[in-house]
Formats: sequence, C-alpha cells, structure tokens
Amino acid sequence: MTAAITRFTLDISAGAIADLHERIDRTRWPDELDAEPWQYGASLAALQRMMQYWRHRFDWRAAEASINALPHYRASIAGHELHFIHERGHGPQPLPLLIAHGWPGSFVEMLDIIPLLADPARHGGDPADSFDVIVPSMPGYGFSGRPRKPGMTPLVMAELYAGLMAALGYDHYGLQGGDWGATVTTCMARQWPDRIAGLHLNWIPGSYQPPQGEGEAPFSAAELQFQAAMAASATQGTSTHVGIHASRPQTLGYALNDSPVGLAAWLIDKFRMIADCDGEIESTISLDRLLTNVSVYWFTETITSAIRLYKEARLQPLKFAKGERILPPLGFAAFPGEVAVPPREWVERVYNLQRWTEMKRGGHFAAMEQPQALAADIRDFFRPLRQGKASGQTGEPKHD
Amino acid sequence: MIEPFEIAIDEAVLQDLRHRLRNTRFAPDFGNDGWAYGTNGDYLRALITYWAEAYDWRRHERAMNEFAHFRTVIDEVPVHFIHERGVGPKPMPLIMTHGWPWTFWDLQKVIRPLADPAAFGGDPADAFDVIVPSLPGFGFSSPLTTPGINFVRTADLWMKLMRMLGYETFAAQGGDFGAFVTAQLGHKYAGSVLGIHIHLAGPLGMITGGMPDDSMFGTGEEHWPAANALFFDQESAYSRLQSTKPQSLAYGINDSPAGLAAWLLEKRRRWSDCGGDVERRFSKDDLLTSMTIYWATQTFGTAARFYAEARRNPWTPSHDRKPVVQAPTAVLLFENDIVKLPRRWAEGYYNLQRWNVAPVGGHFVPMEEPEILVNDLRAFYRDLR
Repeated sequence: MTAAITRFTLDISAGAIADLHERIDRTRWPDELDAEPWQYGASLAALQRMMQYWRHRFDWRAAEASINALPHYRASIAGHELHFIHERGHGPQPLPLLIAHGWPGSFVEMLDIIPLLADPARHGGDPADSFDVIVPSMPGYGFSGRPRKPGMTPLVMAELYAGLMAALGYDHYGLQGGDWGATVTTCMARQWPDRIAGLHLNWIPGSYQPPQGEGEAPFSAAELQFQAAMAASATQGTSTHVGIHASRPQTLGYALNDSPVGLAAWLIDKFRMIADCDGEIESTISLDRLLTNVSVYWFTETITSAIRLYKEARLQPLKFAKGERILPPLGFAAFPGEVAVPPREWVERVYNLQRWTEMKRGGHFAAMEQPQALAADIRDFFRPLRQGKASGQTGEPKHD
Repeated sequence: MIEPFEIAIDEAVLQDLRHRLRNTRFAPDFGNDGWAYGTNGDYLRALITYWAEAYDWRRHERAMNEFAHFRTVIDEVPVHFIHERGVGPKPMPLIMTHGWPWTFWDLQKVIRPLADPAAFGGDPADAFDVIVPSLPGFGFSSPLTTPGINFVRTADLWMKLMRMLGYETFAAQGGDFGAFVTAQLGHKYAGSVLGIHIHLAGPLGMITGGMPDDSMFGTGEEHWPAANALFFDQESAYSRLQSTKPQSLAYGINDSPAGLAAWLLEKRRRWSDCGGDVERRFSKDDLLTSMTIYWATQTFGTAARFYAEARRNPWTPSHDRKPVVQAPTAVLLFENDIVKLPRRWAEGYYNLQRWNVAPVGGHFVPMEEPEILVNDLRAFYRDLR
C-alpha cells in the first residue's frame, strides 16, 4: 500500500481566533438555579470563569506551539485524510504503538504520554521500553478529514488505522486505547491478530457483548450486577449524552458548532463527570489542557462529525459469536474513577487477558489524568511481548 | 396582583438576533436527506435565512397583542396568561395548558372560536371564558428562579390563578405536559374541576416510570405499542437529556438561534402529522414565531428543565380514591400522535366519559387540527354545563 504522507503543522488563522473571541464576548448566558451547581448540568459560575479564561488568559498560540513540537503528518488512506502524530522512539528497538483516543477527547489527550513512551530514558525509564508512538485523530475528529458519507463505523476506522500502520511500514505493533479508541483497537485486534503484538486498554467498549448460552459459562453475580448497572446508567445522567449522540446528533450539533460556550459546556461537563476529580475537574486536568481540547473541536468544526460516530457505531455493536475470541494478549488498566469497570471474568470471555492492573488513581481520561502511571503500565505490559516476531519498521522510513 | 401585559420585544434583542443568524457557523451536514441524523442542514439554512432576512416579528407580536394578556406572580413564580372573555349567555371558564416545545401561542387558533362560538358559526351557549397561561419558565412566564416547579406544582399554581380570577369551578384542557397539568387538576382538585379534556392520556407517574401493559391495547389499537416503542427508542433521547442535564444543553441553545431552531424544528417535524414536510403543518412564520418567543424570553433552559423537575420530584398521589383522576374526562387522541395509550387502561385510571380517536393529526393538536379540537371540546362540555 502506498499513501501520500505529508508533514503537517497546526496553524489556526488569526481570523478564526478573532471570531472565537467575538463570539465569547457576545455570549448570552442562560439562567441557572444556583442552589445546586452542576446538578442540572454545567454550573453557570464555573463556566463563566472558564469562558473568561478562554477569552483573556488562554493562549492558543502557545498551545499550538507545544502541539507542533511533536511531529504531525497527514496521510490519505483509502480516500480518507488522517491526521496523526508520529514520534519515533529513542531506544535500541522501539516497538510501534498506536494510541487511539475517543470522545470527548482528541489527540490532545495524549500530549503528555507520548514523550514518556517514546523516550523513556529521558523520563527515568529504560530505553529498552521505548515505542514509536503513532497517535491518529479519528476520522471526523480534529485535523483528520470529516467523513463525507454515512457509515464511518469503528470497524471502518480500524481498517483506516491498519492502513495507516501499513503505510508507515509497520507490520507488527502494539495498540492502546480508551473510550472509542478501545472499540477501534479491539476491532483491529479482532481482525488482524497476526499484526498485533498486544492490546492495552483502559476501557472496555460499552457495546461489548460476549457470547452467552450453551457452551459458555453462566454469568457470575458480579457480571449480572455489572450488566444491570450499565442498563441503569443509560437513564441516570452519566450517559444521557449517548442517547442523543446515537439518535439525533445533527440536531444537537448546530448549537455546539455555533456557540463556544455551548461547546465548552457540553465537553467540560462530560470531562468533570467521568474524570476521577471529586467534582473539581481542574484538580486533575489543567484548564489550559481542557481548553486546548475544546479549541481543537471549535477550530476544526468537528463536534457534529465527532458525535455522529455514536449513531454509526450503534449499528455495529461488538457482538461475538459462540467460541469467538480475540487472540492478541490484553493488558487492562482498571482506573478506580472509571465510569464502569467490568468484572474480570466478563472481559476474559472474549479477550486474551494477560494482565490486569488495579490503578491507584484516575478515571476515564487516563492519559491526561495519570500519564506516568498509565505509561508505566503500558511499558510493563509490552515488555515481555517485545520478543518473538521481528517487529517494527523495515527499511527506510516512509516519510521524512 | 394581576396586571395587564403587552408583548413588546426590545428592538435591540431583534437586532442581536439578526446579527447572530447572519453569522451562524453551520455544522456541516451530509447523508441526511431523510433527517435520520437529526435536523437537515439544507432546510435549516433556508429557515435561518428567512428568519434573518424576511421574517417580521412585529406582525406576529401585533396579532398576539390583539388578545388580552396579563401577568401575575403566584408563590414567587411569574405567570403570564391570556384571558379572553366568552361571548354568550353563560360562558364556562376553561384553562388550556400547552406543552413542550410549544408556547401559549400554539393555542392561537382555538381561543376565539371557543370564546365566541357565534362569530365562528357556532352556538353562543357553547362559549368559554378562555384562560391560556404560559407554563412556568416558558415564554413570558419568566424568569423562573424557583426550583422544583414541575407539572404537579403547576396544577397548584393554576388552581390559585383560577381562584384569583374569581372562578370557583372550571374546565381544563391540555396536551403534552399540559395534559399532565390538566390530569393533575382532575386528580387533586376534582371538586373544583367540572371536567378535563386531554389529548395525551397517561398515568401521572409516567415520566418517572410506569406504562400500561401491552395487553391492554384493544381493537384498533393493535399497532400502538410498536409505535410507542419506536418513539421511545428513536425519538426520546431529548427527553432523557432534558430530564438529567438540561443546563448543559441550554448554554449552546441560549447562545445560538440556529441551535435553538434545529432543536425545536426537529420535534415539530417528527411529531406532527406532516409526512416529513413540516410546512404542511406549520408555515415558516408559525415555526419562527414560536422560536422567537423562546429566543427573546431566553426560556429554552427553564422550559427544558421542566423535564428535570418532573423526574427529580416524582408525582405522588394526593388521595387513594379510584379512579385516580376523578373529574369527568374526555380523551381525544390523534392517530399520528407520538404516544398513545389504550382506552381500556384509561377507563380504569380516569373517570372516562368520552373517547375519540381522530384519523388524522399529530402531536401539536391545537395548531394542526384546531377544528376537531374545538368541536370535541364544545360537545364534551355541553353536557357538563
């Protein structure tokens, strides 16, 4: 497979920044019953402070410069434009590792963890643990092109990511993912087990349905409890965004694409809800980093294409046939603040679970909340998997 | 104290609205001709252009002001209402309650025919004193700063309003959330309510769970459970969202008229009997007048919160008498409305006196099928005068 791969630099126009500032200045705030902040959604006082910061203190150019310090590329894979970061490892034999983000995140989630994985020696680690790190933006997210027709499911994304790795000359590599990234990487491990050295997840996809019935072990009490909790969460506010994203995403998208405060409220409320932060999101993720992520959605006008993924994915749940298993080894990092960590036996029904780590702190946004701990677990998981197949890139790099 | 009220939106608000409309950053849309992903981008663009360049709010404002409007405050809740006196020998007081995403103006076509039937080819003996309030936190019943105001509390407010207006007994009518307000009046205040007329007949606890069993659906109703299930599966995410996180949605919609229009428009199209062409049931002006009311009063957030308040403050019965709703009840359903519950179930829950199913019409009954509604109301209450 050949693909045109070109270097890419973020450079948001001054006009777009001025327009953002003008819109923030014109914000029409809704009323709030301030008796119970965050109980009906994003708190007015908190959001007003954040918008003030976004307008007057947050420095997009500084954020852009630090993002551009990593090497960015765009590639055309099967007709789709994919944006990705490709940070080469520093070590004797770096293992290629694709890290897949989800929603409401973006490649921005991975900014802190990339150097830890690519160059462990500079961060108190062993150079033998280094990775070539590839962080794509999902199609319809950030600087990847927006789909032009329906049907951009996680499985199609998996094909594009596999195509990207092939275009980079990698035929054997590791995978890491959370949120939708866990779904996409699970699809990759399922479809192409021979190429995957190992799969490291910090989230088990919500649509994951192991086979049941004859020949399969009956569900344990913990599994039944987990299934009930998942069903209940659909109506409890922690996941009501899923309902609207999965049914009428376009209807929601118009307001979010037209209103910076609307976009910030929608995304930051979600971050606060599922990060391990006791209601104080900035205690675990800096406001600068949160707003960098929101700004990426804003400047690229991708909130609608991003949330449409929920509707596409609904048609293609991760359902497994009797006896079907995902062969590559799985390492799972169970973060205590994660929305719903399934019982181990639930995961083992399909996945080849080799490592299960109870993490000390952190929630849904592991790479942002606990980059050191996540990086350590990724290194430990892949260390024994680096042997065996001759791996990695062969011959000359496929891009400059 | 009840004060006369005239609607007069500030010109600066309309100018700001036009500025925002012209500067809309439209979310890109694709592969969505059938509106499967939600509001269609091409239709929305055309509507927003019309709103910015051709729509004349003042014309509609004048039409609204031809009715007698009032405002008052009851239990710290601002209440706006139209009070149109009946023309006839003995007008019956009738309080009509709208729903979401409606406004009081959805009743515009039925107020005069009900108040002055003779002027519309009817019998003056059928005249009503018509009271059309805006739900708390909707339109000009704003700003709402009191928590906990749901359809249960609204029924209490309406009871006090009718007392303030000097009505000891009265009739009540409603659809959507207005049907819940009306049914609660018929439950809690059956002694003061001559009869209720509703076009959504559900259990008062429906929002917090509890639907009639599928086995209750009878002849002619066989296809309703599947249609209900389809609605709950495909179209009800908005309700779960507004029941839990209305405020997170409100920031964007209160700041973006195109976002507001998209949210409301989808419901007008999906829930009306329009066959996918919303303008078969609502002109662009109809749609935009409703949207301008939400926009100018900045009430999307408090209106959406009406769902959250229903969920957070579950309905509890005021007495254990049966049927639950003791006031004489007329149910008028419309074949293409979104949720329809069975007659056999309604017979047990309501003091059911009248049951009709119109073969046409959708959810927005007073706008879609005003004549059917007016005729059925007159016929039902004629026997109760």
